[in-house]
Amino acid sequence: MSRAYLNMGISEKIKDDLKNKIQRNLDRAYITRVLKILGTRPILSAYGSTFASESDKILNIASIKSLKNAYSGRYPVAYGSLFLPYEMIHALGLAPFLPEVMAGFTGGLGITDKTLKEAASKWYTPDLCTFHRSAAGAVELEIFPKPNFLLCANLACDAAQKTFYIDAVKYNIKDNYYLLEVPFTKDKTGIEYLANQIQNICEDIAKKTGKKLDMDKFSKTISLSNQFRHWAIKLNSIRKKLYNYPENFNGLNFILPFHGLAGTEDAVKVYRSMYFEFKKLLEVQDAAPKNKSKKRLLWLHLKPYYKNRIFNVLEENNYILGFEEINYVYWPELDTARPFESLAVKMLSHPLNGSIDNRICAIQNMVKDYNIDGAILFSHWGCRHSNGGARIIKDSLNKSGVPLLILDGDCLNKNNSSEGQMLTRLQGFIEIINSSYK
Amino acid sequence: MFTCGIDVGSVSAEAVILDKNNDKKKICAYIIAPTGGDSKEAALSVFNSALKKAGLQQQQIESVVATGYGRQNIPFANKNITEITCHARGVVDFFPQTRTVIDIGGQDSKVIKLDAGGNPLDFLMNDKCAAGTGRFLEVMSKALDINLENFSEIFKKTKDKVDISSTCTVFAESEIVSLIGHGADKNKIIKGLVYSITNRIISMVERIGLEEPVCMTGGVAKNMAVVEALSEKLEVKIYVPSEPQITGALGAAILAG
Amino acid sequence: MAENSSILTFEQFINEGTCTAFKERTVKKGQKIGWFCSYTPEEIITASGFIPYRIAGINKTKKAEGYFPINFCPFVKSMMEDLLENTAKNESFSGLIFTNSCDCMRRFYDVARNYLSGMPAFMLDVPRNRSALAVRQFINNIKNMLSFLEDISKKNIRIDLLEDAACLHNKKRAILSEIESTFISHIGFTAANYFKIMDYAMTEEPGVFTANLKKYLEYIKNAGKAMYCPRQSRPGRHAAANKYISKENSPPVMIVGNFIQENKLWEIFDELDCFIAYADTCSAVRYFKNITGLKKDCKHLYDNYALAETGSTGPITEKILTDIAIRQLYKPQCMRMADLSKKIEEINKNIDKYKIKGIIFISQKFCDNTLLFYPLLRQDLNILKIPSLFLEIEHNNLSAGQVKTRIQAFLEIL
Repeated sequence: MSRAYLNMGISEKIKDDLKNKIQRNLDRAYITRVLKILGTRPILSAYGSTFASESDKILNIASIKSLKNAYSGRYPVAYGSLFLPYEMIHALGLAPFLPEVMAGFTGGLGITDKTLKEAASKWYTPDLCTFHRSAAGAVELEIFPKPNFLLCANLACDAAQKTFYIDAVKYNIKDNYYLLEVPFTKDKTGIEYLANQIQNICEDIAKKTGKKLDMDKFSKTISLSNQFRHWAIKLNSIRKKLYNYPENFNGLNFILPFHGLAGTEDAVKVYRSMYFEFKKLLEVQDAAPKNKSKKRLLWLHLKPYYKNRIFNVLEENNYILGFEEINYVYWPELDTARPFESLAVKMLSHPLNGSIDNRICAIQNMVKDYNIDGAILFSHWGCRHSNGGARIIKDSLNKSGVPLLILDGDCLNKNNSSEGQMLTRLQGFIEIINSSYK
Repeated sequence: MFTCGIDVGSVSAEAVILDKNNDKKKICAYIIAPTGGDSKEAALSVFNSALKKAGLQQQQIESVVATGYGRQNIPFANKNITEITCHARGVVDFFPQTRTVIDIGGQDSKVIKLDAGGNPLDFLMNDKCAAGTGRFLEVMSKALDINLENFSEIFKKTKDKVDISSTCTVFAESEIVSLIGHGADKNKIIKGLVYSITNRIISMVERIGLEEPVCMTGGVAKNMAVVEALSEKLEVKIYVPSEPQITGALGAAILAG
Repeated sequence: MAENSSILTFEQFINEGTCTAFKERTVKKGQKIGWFCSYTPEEIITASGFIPYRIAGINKTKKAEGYFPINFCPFVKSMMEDLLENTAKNESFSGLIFTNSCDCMRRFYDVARNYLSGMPAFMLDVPRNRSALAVRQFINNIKNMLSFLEDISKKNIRIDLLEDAACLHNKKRAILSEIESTFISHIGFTAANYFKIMDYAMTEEPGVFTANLKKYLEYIKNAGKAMYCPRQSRPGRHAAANKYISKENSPPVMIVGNFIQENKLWEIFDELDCFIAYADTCSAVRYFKNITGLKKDCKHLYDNYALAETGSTGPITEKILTDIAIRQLYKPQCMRMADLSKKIEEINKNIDKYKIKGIIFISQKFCDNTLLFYPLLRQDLNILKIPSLFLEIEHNNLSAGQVKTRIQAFLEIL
C-alpha cells in the first residue's frame, strides 16, 4: 500500500510537471518531443511502474504509445470520431487520433480556455458542445497532429462530421474525408449499405497509402477485437456484484481503450488485467461479506474532465457507480471471415444509433443487471442528441421505479458550470433517494 | 427543545428558531438579513440576532441545520441539508397538501415536486444564468428606473404588454433599453417583463409536470405581480406562505433534531 | 416611377374570390400527412391520397418546452407545439413523416412518438453522402415510406398515381421557380409576399395551389408591366409608398440559412428596402429547385437503374422512385450534407449569377449543422471579398428591433 501510494504521488507529480510544461509550450513540435522522450522504453517502463495496478500501467503506457504514434510522423494519421470501428483503422496500418477524446485531455490539461477562445475567433458557434469546440480550437492552434485521413460517422451526433470537414479543408485533404453513414435502422439492407461503405473506404485508403487491402490483417484485428470484447464482458459481469473498486478507479476513464484501441493487443491486455484485479476484489468481498449498504448509481453520458468534487461527494455519501453507460458491450461477436459486415453490425448495434428506444432498452438492461438504485444523466451543455432524449429516459426510468437526476454541467469548460449548483443538485438527489429507503 | 435552521442564500440569509416541545412546533423567532459578501459572517449574524430575539443562549439550541448555497461553510451547524429538502419540508409546514413548490430566490429558482406525504420526489433548478430569478427583476427595475415595489400595482393597472423576446438577463436589458429608445410605454414593458420571467419558470414546471396545490416561496413570492402572472399562465391557484422567505430555514429547523 | 405600384399580395389575391378557395387552412382529421424537412418527397404523400402539409412551427413554444432541454433547436420545439396544439384541438394528422436530418429532428421523432399517443410516425432516413450507393439506399428508404403510407391509407399506391403526383409536384416546383424570378425582377413584389406564397405552397393541396398561383402570376405580369424593370436600374420597392427613400441600384443580397420563415423578419427586409436576389433557405430554393433531378453528374445512375430490376414494386416504379430520390438528394443542399465544399460551390455560382454584393447568414439558434458551416463560408467569402452578416434567431421569437438595426447597418456598409 505505502509503496503504491508513494508511486502514485510520483506519477501525479510527473503528470503535473508535464501539464505545466505543455501549458507553456502549446505546439505540436513540443508535444511530439515530449512524447518521443516519454515513449522511449526505459522511461516508459519507469513511468509505468509508478501506477498502482497492472491495468492502470498498461492503459497509461498504451495511451502514450498511441499518442506517440500519431505525433511521430511515421504513420499516416487518421482522425476518427468517437464510435467509429477503430478495427478498420488499425487493420489499415494507420495511427488513429481521436480529437473528441483528446479534447477531454484539453480539459485535464487546463488548456480549454485557449482552445475555446481560438474556436470562437474562427466563428465556431459558442453554443456548440465543448468537446467539439475545444478539438476544433486545438486543430486550429496546430496542437493536434496533422491528419492524413479524416473518418467520421453520423453515429450519435452531428458535430464531428462538420468540424472534421473544416479540418479537412484546413489541411487541404477534402478527398480524404469520409463520412460513414449509419442507417437509422438495423436491417439487412442497412447492414449491406454500411458494409459496402466501410469496404469502399478501406479500399480507397489502401490505394492512397499505396498498399493492398491485407485481409489477413483484418481478420487478425477482428479476432483481437473479439478477445477484448470477451474480457470486457467478463469484467462487467464481476462489476454486477462488486461494491468496492480499486483506489482511483473511475469507469468513465475508459473511452480510449474501449473504442480507439479496439482491435489491438493493448485493449485485450487492459481488460484482461482489469478482470483479474477485479476478480480478486470480489473474492475479498465474498470472503468477508461486509454490509452492502452502498447505493449503486448508473452513470449516463460522460463526466467532467477537470478537477471536481462530484465523485468525492458520492463516495462520502456511500454511493458508488454501479455501472457506466459508456462501458456497455453492445455489439455481438464479430466474424473474422466477414470483417466489413461485422463492423457494420457493430456500428448499427450502438444504442445511440437510431431511435431513443435503443438507448432506453440498453439502459433498462443495465439497471436490471447491475442492481441500480438511481441514475445520473450528466447533461453536457450543448449535447443535443443526449439531452434531447433526457425527458423520455427520465419518464421511462421513473416508470420502473428508478429515480434519475439530470445533472446540468459542462464536461470540459469549468467556467460553464457552477460546482456549487452541481453539488447542491447531487446532494438533493441523494437526500431524495435516501429518504425513500427509510 | 429548541432547534435552529439557517438558510444562507446568495442575496439574503435567514434564521428560524423553533420550539419543539410535546410534538408541537412553534416559531420562537426568525430573522431575514442581506447576505453581503461573507456568507459565514451572515450566518453567524442572523443566528445571533435570532437568539437575541428569542431570548435564548446558544447552548440552549439542541441542533443547528444549515441550508442554502452557503450551507457548507457554517462552523456551528451540526449538519447541512440542501435547500431542496428544506424548502419542501418548510412548505409542508405551511400547507400540508402541497404537491408542487415553486421557489424563486435571488440567484436561482427551483421547482420541487412532492408526494402525498410531503416528501420531495423530484426537482429542477435553473441553470446558472439569472433568467427567471429575482436578480432578473432587479436588473430590469434598474434599467427602467422604476422601484420593484411598484411592479405589482403597475402590473394590475396595465392592460397591454410589450413582448420581451429575450429571456437572458443581459439581452433583455439591452432589449429594454432599445424599447425605451423607441418610446415604448414603461408600464407595458413591465407587464411584458413579468410575463417573460414566468416563461422560464413555466418551462421548468412543464418539464417536471404540474400537480396541484401549488405553493410559491422565496423572495420573489412577495412580488404579487409575478405570482399573479404565474397563476394566470399555469391556470392554477398559487398559495403563498405568510412569510415566503423563511421556508428554507424553517424546514432546516424542523429537520434539525 | 409608377405611383400606383402596389400590387395585391397572393393572400389578398386569393381572398378576392377569383381563385378556387383553399379549403380551410386548419388541419382536418383524415386528410393530411404532416412533414417537416425539405428532403421529404411530397409526391409520395400525394400519391397515397393525402395532402402533404409542412408543419412549420406556427405556435409560440409553451408546453413543448417541457419535452426538450433549454439549448435545443427552437424550430423543433415550435413544431412540437403545433402537434400538441393540433392534438388538443382533435385536428390531428393522419400520420407524420420525420427525416433523419439532424440530432434535434431525431429526438423530435422520439418525443412525438412518446407523447402523442397513437400518432403514426415514420422516420425517413436521408443520406448525407451523394453517391450511387447512397441513392440506392435512399430509394429503399422511400419504398419503406411508401409502405407506411399504404398502411395508413389502406390503399395501394399504383404506378400511375405516383406518376401523376410526381408530375403535379414538378409543375408546382416549376411555377414556384417562375415566381422566384418574378420576385427578383419585380419592384412591387415584397419579400413578405414571396415567403407567404411558400407558406401556402408547403401546406395546400398542390393541384389547387398550382392553379391559383398560375393565375396570380398572370395577374402580376399584366398588372405590373409598368413596374417590371431590369435589375440594374431597379429602384426601391417602396418608392411608391414614399416612406423610405430608396437608393438607386440597391445591392443584391443573398440569404443563406436553414428554416427561416418569419413574417416579421421579411417585413423588416421590405421596410429596409433590401433586395433579396437569392434566398438559399429550406423554405425557398431548397424547397422547390431542381425539378427533374436529371443532372449531368448523376446521369450514370439512371443507366444503372435502367438495368436494375429488383423489388416488389417492379422496374417502372423503380425508375420513378429513382427520379424522386435523385431529385431530392441533388437539390440545392442543406448544411447537413457531407460535402460542404459542394455547398460553397453552389453559393459561389449563385454569387456570380445574381451579382451578389453581400450575404446575410441567418440560422436558428442551436442548429449545429448550419452554424458549423459558417466558419467555412466566411473563409470563402473573405477570399471573394464579399461581406457577410451573421444572424442567429429563435423561431417565432424575433427580437425585431435588434435584428433591424443589424440588417440596416449591414446594408449601409454595402
